Amino acid sequence: MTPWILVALAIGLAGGGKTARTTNVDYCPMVLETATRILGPLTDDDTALERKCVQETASAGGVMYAEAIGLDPMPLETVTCEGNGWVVQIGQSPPKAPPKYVIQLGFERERHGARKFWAQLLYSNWRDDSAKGRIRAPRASGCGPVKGVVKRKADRWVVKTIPQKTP
Amino acid sequence: MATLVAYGVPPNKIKLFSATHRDLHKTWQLDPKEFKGETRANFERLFRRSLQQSFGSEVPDLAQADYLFVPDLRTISAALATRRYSRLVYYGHGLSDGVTLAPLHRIAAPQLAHALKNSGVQRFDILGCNSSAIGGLIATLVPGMTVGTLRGRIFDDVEIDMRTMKLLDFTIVPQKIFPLGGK
Repeated sequence: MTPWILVALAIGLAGGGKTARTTNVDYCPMVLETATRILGPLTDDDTALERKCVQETASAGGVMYAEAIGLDPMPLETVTCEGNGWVVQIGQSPPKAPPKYVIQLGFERERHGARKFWAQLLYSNWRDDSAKGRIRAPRASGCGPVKGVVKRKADRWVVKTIPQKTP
Repeated sequence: MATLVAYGVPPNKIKLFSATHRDLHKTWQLDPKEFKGETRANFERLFRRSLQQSFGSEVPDLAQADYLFVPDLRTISAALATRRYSRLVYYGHGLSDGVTLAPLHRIAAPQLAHALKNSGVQRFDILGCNSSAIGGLIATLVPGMTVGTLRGRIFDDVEIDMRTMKLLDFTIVPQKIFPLGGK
């Protein structure tokens, strides 16, 4: 391989004019900002997870627990992100969170620097159920589900939730 | 006299991901437009069993109760006019404004109170979100009637077959009912 080919490859890898794909290093700021911003007062249009509900269900020792999924590439080893009262685990097979329930943060593929997401309360052993082709999910008033978009803006993440249909 | 259990469309909603964290692009919920036929019959069967298990000791006549899907005020008013019930149990959504039940369409508490007056119902239990505020208002609007409310958060579980999307189980977490008003 000639030096020019190496230079061309390096330029291509460095950008190529497209939006840079999120790397593992970027996941923590994004997921923590999402977890933090989805908390709010009880609403009928599910634009927030009620903080009290999350604290009553998906927390242990004063810490709220979430798992981020749907990220691509997904870290092989579990990455633990901590901040703002949250512990968010990301990985192909993270250990079960300590509380009975966990907030699942499901992210869609990044498009133009933004990802749609979905936050819902699940049993913390949901992977075991899912492997059997079943899912058992609790519903608690105030605990969502919530959907929204997280978007990169300069060096930070901006989270916006989307109102859902009310009766 | 008899007991009527009036229920709405459960608002449970789950987005499905595989155990390997893949987005399955499927969301399970009981679509109000499809809440009929076998779907409703399956839900009602699971709901009857769970309500009996969770609130059977609080509401003794549940085993013999009539169960009715009540999407709106007209349906519940008609049911109360058709047969004389001494107890009404509502299981469904309630809005955070503290004055609206939402089994599918909105029912304002004063409208329901009007239907309950002279209906023969002596006890009305609200097993839903925001039951304390809504129940408190109805208790003041229908002074002779006792209104049962929940102080805790309503909590129920659904279990779904991820392939067929069929509801396999429905479980209500038991809790105490607190009475308001009455004689």
